[in-house]
Amino acid sequence: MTIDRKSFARTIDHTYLKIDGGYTEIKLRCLEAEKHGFASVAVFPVAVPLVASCLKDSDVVVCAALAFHLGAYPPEIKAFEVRDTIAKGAAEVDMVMNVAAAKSVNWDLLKEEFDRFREAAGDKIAKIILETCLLTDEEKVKVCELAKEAELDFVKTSTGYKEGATVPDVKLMHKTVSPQLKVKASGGIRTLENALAMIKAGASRLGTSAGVTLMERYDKKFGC
Amino acid sequence: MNHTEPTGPTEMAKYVITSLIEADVTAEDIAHFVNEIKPFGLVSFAVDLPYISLAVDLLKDVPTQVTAVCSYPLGGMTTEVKLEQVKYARQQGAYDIDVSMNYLAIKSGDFLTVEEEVRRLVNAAGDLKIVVVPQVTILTNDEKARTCEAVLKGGCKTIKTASGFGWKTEVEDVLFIKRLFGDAIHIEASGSVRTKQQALAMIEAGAESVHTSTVFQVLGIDKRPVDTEKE
Repeated sequence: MTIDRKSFARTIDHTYLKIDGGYTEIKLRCLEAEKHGFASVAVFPVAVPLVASCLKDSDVVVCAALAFHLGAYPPEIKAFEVRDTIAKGAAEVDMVMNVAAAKSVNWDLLKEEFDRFREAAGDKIAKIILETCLLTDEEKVKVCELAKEAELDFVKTSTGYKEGATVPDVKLMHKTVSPQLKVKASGGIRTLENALAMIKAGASRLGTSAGVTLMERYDKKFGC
Repeated sequence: MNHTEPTGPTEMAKYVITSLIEADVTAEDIAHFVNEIKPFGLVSFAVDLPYISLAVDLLKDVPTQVTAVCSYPLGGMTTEVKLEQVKYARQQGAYDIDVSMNYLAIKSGDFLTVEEEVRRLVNAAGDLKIVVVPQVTILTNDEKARTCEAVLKGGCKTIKTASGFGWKTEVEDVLFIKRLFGDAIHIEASGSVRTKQQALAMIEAGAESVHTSTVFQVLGIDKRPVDTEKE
């Protein structure tokens, strides 16, 4: 067995980033996350107060998805959103980077964005989303290096609204940021095999909406 | 509505809004696209917040306005963050701003939250015109009606039906909203309007304007077939 059940569950950010559900769907995700011992419940900022209240006596933390899903916001707006979301109860913040800045080779703008992200997040967990499907390998490496310089906590592959995580991307990101930063793989992780492959490639966190199914498959495969 | 059916590109342009909104759009892309659309006198050109002032500058000699977008297209940001974006768009010189709503509240039947958000946005906007995106694709008819009611109560008179990015609008959506609210609400039909024929059908149904990313097809300049299944 590569990873024990409890540790596997703790890699999962139980994610609900659809727009066609209501408060009931959010509450259900909180109950599921507590039951299985996931790392967090990941939602849009509008749902953060509700999740914070559902999870107040729990080890599961509140994770918020910021600048979704295009990341095309000025650094000051992004920093404002980080502060606002943390004030409303988020312990972890996953922010989409300014992809266009990388495409325009404007590393100064990205550096500013990352520095302001770190400052605004304070001691909370700061994860920067690359949207790897839009970047070349050289750009991925450069962005990972900037994230390391800014002392962020995680580099994360994808929003889930475009193409998702790949094993080669996770390996490349892990090689570039390890051991200072961790890697979160996200987008399209729906099978146990895929989830375990991401962990093997260096991911210490998985962003997925299939957490409950993954735990069921885990129990079936490893006979828990 | 008694629209005279527009025929030529210049006539069509008076109903057409286009946009360049994606994660990897660069300033160069914006400049190139503006160059192409500038001669036609479109209603407006929609961009992400970082490109408002560039677009305003590039379009200063023509009547085409600049539209900003807010929490777009998922609407998951808090009212406080949306207000910051409205303030920013206003400072940068946008004419109007398309705001994605709190869909979590709408899908929970919490229309007071929706109304209150719209009111705060309208109050903060000043000269900047607020356009609300109800995202009709994900709503039942009852939710469409109650969302539009909350939008009007909150003091906003214009909706953009859907965001694109896979969320579509049908002619029936426009007819349904028009039938309930008549001229009290202005409708910008958006999401899946990809041909001139589709655009004319939306206008005929009562839309004041249409949003499209396939602007040259809608103007009738580019006669090549388009994939009407795309958003």
